[in-house]
Amino acid sequence: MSLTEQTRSEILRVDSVSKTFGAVRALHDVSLSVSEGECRGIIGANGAGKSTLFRIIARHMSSDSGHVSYRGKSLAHSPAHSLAGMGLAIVFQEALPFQDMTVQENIMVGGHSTLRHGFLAAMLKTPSRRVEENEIRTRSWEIIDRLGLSDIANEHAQELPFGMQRLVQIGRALCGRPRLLLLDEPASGLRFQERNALAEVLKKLISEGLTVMLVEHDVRFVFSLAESITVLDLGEVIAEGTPQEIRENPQVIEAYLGTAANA
Amino acid sequence: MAIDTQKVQEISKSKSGSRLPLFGAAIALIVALLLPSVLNSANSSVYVYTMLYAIVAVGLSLLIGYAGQVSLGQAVFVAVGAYTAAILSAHGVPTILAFILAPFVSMMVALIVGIPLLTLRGNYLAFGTLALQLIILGVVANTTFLGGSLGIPSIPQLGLTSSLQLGSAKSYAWLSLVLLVGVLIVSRNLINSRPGRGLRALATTEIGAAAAGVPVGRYRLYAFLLSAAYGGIAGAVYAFFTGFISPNSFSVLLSIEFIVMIMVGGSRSIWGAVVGAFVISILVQVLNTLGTLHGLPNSMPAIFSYAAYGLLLVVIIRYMPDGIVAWFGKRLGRLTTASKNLD
Repeated sequence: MSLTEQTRSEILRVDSVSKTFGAVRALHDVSLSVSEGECRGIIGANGAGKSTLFRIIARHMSSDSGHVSYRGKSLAHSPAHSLAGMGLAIVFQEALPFQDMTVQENIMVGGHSTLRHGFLAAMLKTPSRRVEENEIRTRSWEIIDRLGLSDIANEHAQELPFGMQRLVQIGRALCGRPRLLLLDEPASGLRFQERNALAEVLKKLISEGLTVMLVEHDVRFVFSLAESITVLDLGEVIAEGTPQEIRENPQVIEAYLGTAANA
Repeated sequence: MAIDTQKVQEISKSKSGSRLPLFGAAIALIVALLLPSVLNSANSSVYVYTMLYAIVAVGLSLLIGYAGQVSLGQAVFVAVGAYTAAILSAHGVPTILAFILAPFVSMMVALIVGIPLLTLRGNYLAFGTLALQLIILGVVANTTFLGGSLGIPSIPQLGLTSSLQLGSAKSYAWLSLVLLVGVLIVSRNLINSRPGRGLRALATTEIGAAAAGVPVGRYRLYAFLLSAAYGGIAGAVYAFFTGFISPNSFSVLLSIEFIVMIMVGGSRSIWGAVVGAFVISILVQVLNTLGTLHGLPNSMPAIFSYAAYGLLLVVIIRYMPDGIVAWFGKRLGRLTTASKNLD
């Protein structure tokens, strides 16, 4: 346990979560706690259970036992689409940019739960729709500007290079004004420069106080960002601590880092 | 937060880009407005049907192109609208009220089938709507109250007010044009707003849309209800205009025609639906003329239609997978950039 964790309030808690697929034990009694304002990395080899854990937190899968709570409230009965409105933004690894929509429109979708107007108001162009549309447009421009996407704001997002698409996804998440940003393998498939650019963006967000949880295969990427790291191996938490502590943990070296360094 | 406002404005401006589509739409609207006054009554009927087709097709494109769900029985909602209008006005309800209620009854039918079907994934809605159409047509054909297989004759003309009765084909032509324009404006407003972006997002990835906060199931249901309402509007006008409806007026072939329309025009654009409706209704006329040539069996128009739609779909999917509108849009885009480069 790092010192900072005890002084900050808890934003996400995973409590003895287990999940099996047939004979495969994907997660066994996994618990962890993320504090407000921290950047937490979840690392582990392929098949360690990272993605399963991510999906369970994101409410795309239910656990066999245990539970997840966000800001003290259990997520057991929250549908996946309600998380954004609670301030929990999720970026899936395999998430595609929305087709035939510009970068700006993609980002505006992320503000969905911060606006109210529905079908009827939209169709009839009521005054409240106008106000909200102006608001979301301005907000999306702020995000586009911050992420340095101004030049491509009107391009179709699916036609952009992979690294840009990742930034668009982050922009989409930011448009929902999140408290906690959950990223699934954000660095995967990115080139060296794209990865650095992404790390810079995330660093800035973290320094501004956003809580970030990274589920990531790329150890170096996580070590450069996270202040605390949880290591999963074969569905169990085998270590937790600062990057320094994790680097020196013999169990982690044996299970994961050693092989990753050789790879 | 400091934003480069000048840059924002520049980009917003460049977004509107070419004014050509708007210009094209304005020309089309002027032609459509003038056309009824020069058409004879047979051609006016074709005009009315084309407009009504387009109204249904726009609804279907919202469902297929934007919400990513397919309805193979869209004609059933046209039928429900038509029968609502016919039965209510036959029982003394003012025609204008029957006309207004028709889309709501279509929506109710869509709600009843949509709730169970849309919670399932995949093509259940497609099969479910097709089954629904066959069932409803079967029930109607065997219910005396609904006119049975002979249908309902002598449906009164639509009266907008007690003194203003629509009588001529010309007046229905203008009414259907006004309704189509209304449907297009309302649909366009929808697409360019919060719920519309939600729909477009979920057509690409449901998981991604849900992560952004879009209630996927509910939105698919709403799009389905809206498409049913558009069908109901078209059906009601059809009933008042022709004065006679029967189960045969709303065949499965009609449902397939709607699908072909939006495939031809392009399902991811409401303009595609309009262009598709226009192309298909001309094709239907040609095929009917050919199919009813002297000496051909009665089933010939239907056979021709199926063959022509099959062929058309193959050609479109092979050469213009995004439909006519996108195909021309792309070429036009290339042309304008080429001419800009020349400058």
